Parts: sequence; C-alpha cells; structure tokens
Amino acid sequence: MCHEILGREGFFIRMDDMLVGSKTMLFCDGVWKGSISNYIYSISPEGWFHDEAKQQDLTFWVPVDDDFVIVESTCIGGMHVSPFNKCNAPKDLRQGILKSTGSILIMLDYIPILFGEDDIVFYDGRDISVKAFRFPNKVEAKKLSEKIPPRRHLASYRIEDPKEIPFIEGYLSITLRFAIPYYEDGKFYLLIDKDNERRLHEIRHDTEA
Amino acid sequence: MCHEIVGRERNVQYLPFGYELVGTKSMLFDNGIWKSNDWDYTYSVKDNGWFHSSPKEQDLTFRIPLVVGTTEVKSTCMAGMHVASFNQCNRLEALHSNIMVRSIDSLLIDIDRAPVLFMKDDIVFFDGEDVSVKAFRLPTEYEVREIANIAFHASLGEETFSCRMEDCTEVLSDKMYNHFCYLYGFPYYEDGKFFLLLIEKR
Repeated sequence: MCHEILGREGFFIRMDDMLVGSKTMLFCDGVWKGSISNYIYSISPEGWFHDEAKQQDLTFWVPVDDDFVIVESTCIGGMHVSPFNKCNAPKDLRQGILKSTGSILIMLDYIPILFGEDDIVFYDGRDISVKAFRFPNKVEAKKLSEKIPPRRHLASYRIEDPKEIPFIEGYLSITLRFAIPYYEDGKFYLLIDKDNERRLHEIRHDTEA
Repeated sequence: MCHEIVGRERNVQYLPFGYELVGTKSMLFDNGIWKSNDWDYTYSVKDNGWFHSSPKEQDLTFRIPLVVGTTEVKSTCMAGMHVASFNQCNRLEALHSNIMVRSIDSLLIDIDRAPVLFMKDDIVFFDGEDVSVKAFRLPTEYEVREIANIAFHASLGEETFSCRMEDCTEVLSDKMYNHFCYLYGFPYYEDGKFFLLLIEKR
C-alpha cells in the first residue's frame, strides 16, 4: 500500500535541473528572517539557506459530510516554499514588496527561490518543505524576470546597503516594487524594475493632484 | 511551521455515523480469510470483528504540479490500512455490481467498496483522498441498512436477503453461472459471523 499527495493548489516552475517556488522573507539589519516567526536562516558560503528537517505539526482536514474532521499529527518538515498561483504567477506578479522604516527592514513577498528535488522533505498538496534553497544568480534572476510582463529597465542594488535602493517615500513608508533578490559572488542583490518605480511615481502625482 | 493536508476533491467525503466515520474499502474473502484486493495483505480480525494493524512505514509519493505536468518525489510515511471516501462514482446506482462470488475449488468473494467504520482516533494518515487507519470494522446488519440509505441512496426493504459468507455458494446456487456470480450488496458482521446483505436488483 502507498499514499500519494497530489497538488490541490498552485504550481512550481522547472528551471534547468531546479524547481522554482515562492517565499516571503525579511531582510532585517543584515539578517535573513522568516516573515511571521523570528526564525533566522542559516546561510552557507555558497548562498544556500539550509536547515535540518525536523518534526513539525501536521493537520489532516478530513472531509466529512460537507464539513471537516480535524486530526492532529506530525511529519518531518523543513523550510516551507509556496507554489505560484493565479494571484502570484510570475506573469501577473508585482513581485516584491519592499518596506522602508527607520531601521530599514526589507520585506520580500513571493520572491522566487530555487531548490533541488532531493531537497524536498514533505509536500502537503500546496506547500513544499525543503532542507535547502537558494536565491537565483543574476542570470537566473533576469531569466525569471522575463516571465513577467516586459521589464525593460532593470537595475541591481546591493541588498546589504539598502541606502542605495531608491525607496519611494509613500504611505507609512511602504513602497511597492517589482524586485527579485539574487546572490552573486557572495553578496545579495535586488533586481528592481524601474518601470514599476516610474508608474508608482505617476500614480502618486495623480493622487496628490 | 506546520503543514496541512486538505481533501483535494469536491464531492469526496467520509460520512459521520454516531461516534464513528464511514468510508469504503475493497477486499477479498478468500476461503474464510480476509485479504486485500491485490492479495498482498492478510487482515488480522479480532473476536469483536475489528480489523486491526499497527502503523508501518509505507511509500509516499509527492506529485508536485509544474506549469506543465508534474514531477514525482518519493518519500515514506507511517500509515495503516487504507480506507477510501465516498464519491459520486461509488454510489450504488452507479455500480453494475460490487460483489463477485467465485466457487472454483475454494470460495472467493471479491467485495468492491464495502462500507467500513472507523474512529477518528484510528486515523494515522490522510493524503487528501484516502485515510490510513489502524483499525476498522464492518457494520452490523442494522448499521449497514442505515448506511446504504445514506451513502448509496439504496432503499433496502423486502428486496434484500442475507447469507453467511461461508455458505453463500449454496444460497446463491441458482444465480451461479460457470461458478461465478455478480451481485449487489454489503458485508456485515453480526454475532461473531460475517454475512452478506444482498439486494435483488430490479
């Protein structure tokens, strides 16, 4: 006997021998953190985010008579990677959200990250758990950016020096921007869409007028 | 962090029945011994009629959707005896028959989609469609009539008859053709014995 878990939502992208999923992360004072918990990622010198697979909670939502019976269990899981779906599919995505505050916090929402099939430790029909993932390199980031409607004015900024990043001061100092982080030669960068920046400027001016 | 496994199809569900849940199972009754329908597994049955097995490591396949097609990743999980859900395809009216009786040499009864009962606490895994349980049982005669009404939309009145599974070739002798017989019905367990509740289909 064997069980099979099939996808119920979303899709992943194959790029060469890697899979691409999406992840929401924080870059806070030089440290990569989880978006909800205070989890701090370990990063190898090669730029791989890695963690040992550990026991995690697993909930079975068993459909019973148009409702659910909830059964609690556990599984060996890792770092979660989400699929792309209709809302965050690369072709539709305003790919990143950067948030600027006094101490500079960058929140990257639905950023594309890469992992190998051998890194997969669990799949629940939506999220994959992996023991390792990495950001794309510059070539891969540009290739991924092509999956999004025409981006003609891409610019790179070092993520460790956010002062270089041309934030747009907006409501609550939040700016929305297309961005793909990448890792090249031991450093983290952001590939930012400057068209998107211009469009946001125009929207702001219209609002102010 | 935690994972959630949610039922992946609409119209696929288990039924509540008192404190228990009802799903369906296909099994063989081979010369008095209950086996899985691929012959690979022999069930242990307690005196009270409960089929039981301790959870064991089983193969688990992740079918991960890509933009085009899927990729498969092999893994394992701790699981038990599989119980399928009810869906639109396994309702009684959609079946031509769900029981095959063969009487060549020894008696073989092949039962498709028999309703079985299990407790929530017996669930050890759920893959979005099948649950794995460490124990399940066949219904009693009263329960099987109730379940047939609810799950299979079958109204079981005077058109039914029962026979002990071991004796069914004698009872069904006029229905056997070349040692085979195809029927509608449900297995049940009563007073330490297994029976078939068979339906005379119009």
